[in-house]
Amino acid sequence: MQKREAITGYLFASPWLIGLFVFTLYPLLSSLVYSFTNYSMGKDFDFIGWTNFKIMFTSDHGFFQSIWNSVWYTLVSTPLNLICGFGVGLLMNSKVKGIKVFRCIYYLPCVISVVATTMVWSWMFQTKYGLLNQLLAYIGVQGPAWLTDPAWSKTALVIMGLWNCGGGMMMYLAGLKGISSTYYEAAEIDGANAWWKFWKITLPMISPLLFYNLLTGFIGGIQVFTNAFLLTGAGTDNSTNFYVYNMYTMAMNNRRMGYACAMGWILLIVTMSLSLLIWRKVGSRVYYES
Amino acid sequence: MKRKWMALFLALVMCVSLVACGDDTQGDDNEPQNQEEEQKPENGEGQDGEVEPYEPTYGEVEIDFWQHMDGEQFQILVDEYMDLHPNVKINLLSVSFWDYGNKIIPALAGGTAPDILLYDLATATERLAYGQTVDLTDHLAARGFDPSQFRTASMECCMLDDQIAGLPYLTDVRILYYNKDHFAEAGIEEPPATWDQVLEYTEKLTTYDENGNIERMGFHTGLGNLFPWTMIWTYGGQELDGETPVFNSQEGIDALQMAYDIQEASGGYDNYQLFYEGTQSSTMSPFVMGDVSMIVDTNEFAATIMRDNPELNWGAAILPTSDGENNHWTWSGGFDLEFTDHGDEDRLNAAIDFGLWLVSKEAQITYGTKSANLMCNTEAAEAVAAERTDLGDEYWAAVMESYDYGRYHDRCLAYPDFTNTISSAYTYVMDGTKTPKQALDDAAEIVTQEINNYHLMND
Repeated sequence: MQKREAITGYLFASPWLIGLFVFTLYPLLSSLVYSFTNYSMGKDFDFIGWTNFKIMFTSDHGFFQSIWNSVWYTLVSTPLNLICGFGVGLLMNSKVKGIKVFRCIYYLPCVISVVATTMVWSWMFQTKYGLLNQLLAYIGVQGPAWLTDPAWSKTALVIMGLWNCGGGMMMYLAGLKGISSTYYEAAEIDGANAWWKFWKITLPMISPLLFYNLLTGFIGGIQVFTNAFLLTGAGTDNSTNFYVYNMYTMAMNNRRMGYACAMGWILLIVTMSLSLLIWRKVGSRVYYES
Repeated sequence: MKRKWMALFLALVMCVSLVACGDDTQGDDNEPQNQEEEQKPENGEGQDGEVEPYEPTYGEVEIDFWQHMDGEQFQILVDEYMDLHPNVKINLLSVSFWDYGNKIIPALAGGTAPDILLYDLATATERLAYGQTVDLTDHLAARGFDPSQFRTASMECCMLDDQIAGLPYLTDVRILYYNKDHFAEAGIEEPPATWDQVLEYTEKLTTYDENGNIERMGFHTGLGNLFPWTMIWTYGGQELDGETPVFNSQEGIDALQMAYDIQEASGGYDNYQLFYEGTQSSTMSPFVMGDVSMIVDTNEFAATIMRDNPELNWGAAILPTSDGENNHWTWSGGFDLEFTDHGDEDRLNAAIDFGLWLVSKEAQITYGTKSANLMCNTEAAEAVAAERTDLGDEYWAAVMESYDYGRYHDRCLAYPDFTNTISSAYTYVMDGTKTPKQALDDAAEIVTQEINNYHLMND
């Protein structure tokens, strides 16, 4: 009976298991194999040992700049996304009239096609007629050429990324709703003001979500691609030639699929290492009620 | 025990990966290889190497055809062919131009591409070199194929040494469009024949509003469809000599210096950026809207003008050159028909027969007349030019003259993306970051380095 139950269980799980093996595990391991080859999407390839990795660190002209671009983007966008998402989540937790409408509005960008929003942002970032620079002009600031000035193009993409902070907002809102009101009532009895309630109750209780969003935001930031692909390409002076974008052009434009696989594995190792570092350094500060 | 099973499983997946993707044809040489070489005898080649005449022997056969141009027109052609050959069933799949690459590239890599496909002519030889498509040499020789029926540059672009990668289908050329009213207003009678004249006319034609912002731009090399390599060609330079970058020659430097000078004559980089961004918010070309007096664009742009602003008083001319007499090169693109081998000789033969019919004069006239495209079959191109009088004699004179000066990128399997490196050099020059010499020398260094990287991987 036990064996039969086990078989039935595996059968029920098999669609997922097949998906895992065919669409995740197999490509993952294949890419590891390819990273040691000169595979170019043709029928033949040869094993070339560590050559791809050596080239990457010694003679790829765009490699280190693409790393810098991705690191810069991650370091700026991750905390900003956390702060904005959490801030909006706090606001959306207020008991004001029509709050559900506001929640919908703030979440709406997450369900709109990235291509459509990119088009809108390309207009908003225009130097002369763009909304952003028009607003800056009202306060006497001359806005930059957001998308074409190498000094501002990455910043523009960070701002565009904040547009989607509504996704995090929903999670924070769910977390905030889950905090028992008894904690706040007890704190009030003890004379705590709003700041102390936030600092000593809200923040610790929401810290697992903050930590989760920090990790996923960091991983997503390192892998930034779509916005640059749609909006700026490699950008003026390669200012938005992000690591994954560089990987994509190596694979698709130059047919260096083996090399791109090697880049992918370096990205995986770096992401895993830094994620573990964050886990160790920040994870210990997270408060788990259970 | 569990760990043992897991290790065994992972090893199995690795083996499957190698077997599935490695194929059994790895040679000693790391250069891209063409699988077709081993199949030549099947294609009609006799023991003594001579090609035997081809006779179709297939009965009922079904083939797949993918394309990304005018689906309606291709359906008409497919239906016509199936009426003529009732034993051949063609499954046509028309995909949006913008999605086509995402569909065809993995299909070619995974061996699931259709029997016949329309794709980028300029990169046809890459796919042949990597064994993704069929070498047509013997197939076509057996059918008495005459390559001289096609435009020479397009046919040569389909050749990898003595192998034929595809059948040239349609192409394009870049020509200079100019606004006749603006010219008359500025007292200019003829379109420019040299880049010096372009510079002179740009100054005359560019106008500013009271705040110093550009109201109308005479010309800018970044608008339309010119690209820096075309300018380099019109100065007598070239991109590569084999695998050596030579775009940083004096001709290249002069070309980029001229592009910069023209920009200065039309208000400078900042003004251009503002102007360019303004054009991006409109779905219409600035030339069509009368905001630009001269623009270099493809021959297909004429149809856009006619559609969006039929009242525009425009003319067309071949591209200017450094001296006005030589090097009237124009960058050509276009599409060709390529074939894949699924191990079924009948399907392959049926696909090639259909492909040859598609590039025949009659079929090309049918497609070209409707779309006003520039067909690769020279007689068909001339017939279309004679038929589509609505676009004007001046236009067709410029297009047909440019047809003979069409040029494709120099081939570089080691670093196909070298053109983007040239584009980056152009950007550095235009934004004033580097001088033309610095920018082109740096670009040449990058291209050399990337070619060396390729050889490190493949030699």
